[in-house]
Amino acid sequence: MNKECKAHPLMLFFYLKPLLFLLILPVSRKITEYFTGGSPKKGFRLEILILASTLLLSAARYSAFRIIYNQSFIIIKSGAIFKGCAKIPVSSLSSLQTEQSFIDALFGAVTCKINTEAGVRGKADFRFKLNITSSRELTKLLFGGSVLSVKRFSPLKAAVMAAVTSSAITGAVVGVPILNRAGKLLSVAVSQKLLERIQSLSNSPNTFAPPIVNTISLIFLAFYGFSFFYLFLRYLNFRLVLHRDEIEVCSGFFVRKKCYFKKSAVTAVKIEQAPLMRLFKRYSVGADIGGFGEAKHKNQIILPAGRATELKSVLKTCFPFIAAGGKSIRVKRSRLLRNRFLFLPSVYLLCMIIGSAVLARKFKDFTHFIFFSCLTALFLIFCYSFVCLYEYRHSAVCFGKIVHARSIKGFRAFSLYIPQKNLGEIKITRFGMDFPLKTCRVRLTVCSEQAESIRIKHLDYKTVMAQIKKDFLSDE
Amino acid sequence: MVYTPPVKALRLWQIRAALLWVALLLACFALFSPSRLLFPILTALTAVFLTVILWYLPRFLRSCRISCQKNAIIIEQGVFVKKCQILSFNRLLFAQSLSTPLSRLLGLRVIILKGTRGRALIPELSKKASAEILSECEKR
Repeated sequence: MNKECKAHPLMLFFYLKPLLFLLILPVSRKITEYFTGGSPKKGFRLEILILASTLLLSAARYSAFRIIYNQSFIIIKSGAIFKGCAKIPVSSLSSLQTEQSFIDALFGAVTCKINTEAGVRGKADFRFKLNITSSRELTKLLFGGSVLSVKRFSPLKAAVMAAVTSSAITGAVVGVPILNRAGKLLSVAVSQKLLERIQSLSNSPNTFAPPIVNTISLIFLAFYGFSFFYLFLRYLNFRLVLHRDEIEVCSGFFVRKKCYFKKSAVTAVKIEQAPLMRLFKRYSVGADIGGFGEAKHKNQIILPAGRATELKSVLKTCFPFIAAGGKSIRVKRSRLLRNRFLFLPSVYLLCMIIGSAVLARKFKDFTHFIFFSCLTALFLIFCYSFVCLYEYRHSAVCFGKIVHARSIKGFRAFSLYIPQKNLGEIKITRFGMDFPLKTCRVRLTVCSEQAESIRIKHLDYKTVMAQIKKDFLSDE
Repeated sequence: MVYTPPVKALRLWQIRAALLWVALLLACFALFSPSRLLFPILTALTAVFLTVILWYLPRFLRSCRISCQKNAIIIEQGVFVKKCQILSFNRLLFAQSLSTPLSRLLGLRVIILKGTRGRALIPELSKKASAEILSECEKR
């Protein structure tokens, strides 16, 4: 039986949003000025005409929009002048995301985004607003299999997750636009006042580090604090609901987000461990989903920061097709290969020592700052060398029905599970010292829009080629 | 089964080209009216549009050929640059039909077939032909 539903009236504002600052607010201001005794400016009538036709067109688009759905198809009809009708089989859907901001909640609306593996990258295939009842019915029909389990996290756990996943960069990316908008709204230079306060704090105490270093450190701490607060609110409502064939991930505090996707739409499973997470022995699990539309990050987080036991439980229940199997190809244990992994940190250390000596000789007035920068760089190189040693000890690749690779990306430990049918490219590179040592570098790329890849260095070339021949090139 | 755009599709595109020609003529009048360049520009514009309306559009629409094979849909078109697009039914995800007020008046529809890493645009066909292609895609 077909069910039909119309868009929520808030969809009108969705259509008008691109013209809000260009047309609607300026004309509304002029109308207000006209009625409060001002004289009409040149072109006022034309602007009124354009505004009226835009409003009429948006109203026509809103009334023309409808969704007809049943268990096999969704039909989306849109457009008033340029009419479109899309018929999507339910089996072609890869994910459905729903978002409810504060304004949506006030008016009983939900923003729905439907994604398939077609469409423009970084943009949802179809985006519309429905009322809460219609949205629930649609979600239940498409992704409403029986619930197997629900995982929730306590506030303490949410705080731990926020602490290990926060970063100053996230805080800056999220915080700076909010501060600027708040300042514009309140007509107060919020960013300016904050910067002045930080500068006064960094100038006041007598520390070894120069004031500029104190300022930078305080700014980083402020951004980190903001990121922590933002992520804490996001993870406070984090919930993982496992259905038989689908996964539902809920998160968000001010904007409640839900993402539904099929287990079969997952192209790869990613496990990451940032340096701070390694300290707290936590892991983050993410799913690379084919056709995932507007996600900020290119995959959906299933578990933001969980222990090893939680990680195993999530992998077992969410992705039972992932099973350890096949022979793992690791880096051979030898001093020479270990030193190859430590080659880059040694080069950085040498460059840092030479660079700081030259700078200290040339700029004698800045020796304190150069010394402090040197210590910071030394600390970073030290951390990087630990990461390289971790790569030497743990990086491996295992070919089979599920290809499993473990390596590092930047400072993060990174692990990827790829079903063989989703493996796009295997690239094997040899140069320089690889020839006498008979080693190679293996790069695996997932066959998906975002083409996630992982690189494993200094593996034995013969073993890798033999395994690839056996698993990928044999006739059986 | 092979489909080609009907005569009405040619009329539709000729009307669209004529409307664009009139709009550009008016724009030229507005921008260049006191200048000596007006007459050469108008002549050149008229020559281009007459060529498009009377020669290029009929040839282009005659070159369009849509065939539904067993495993794929094949779209051929082009006058100077001949294109042949093959979209396998395995990779097809969904189909979308689009219509403008003029095309609705003439009973024509455009179909967009969307697949993984691919998209095919079938030019204006009659309602009956569009419905047949859509049902063929649904069956596969």
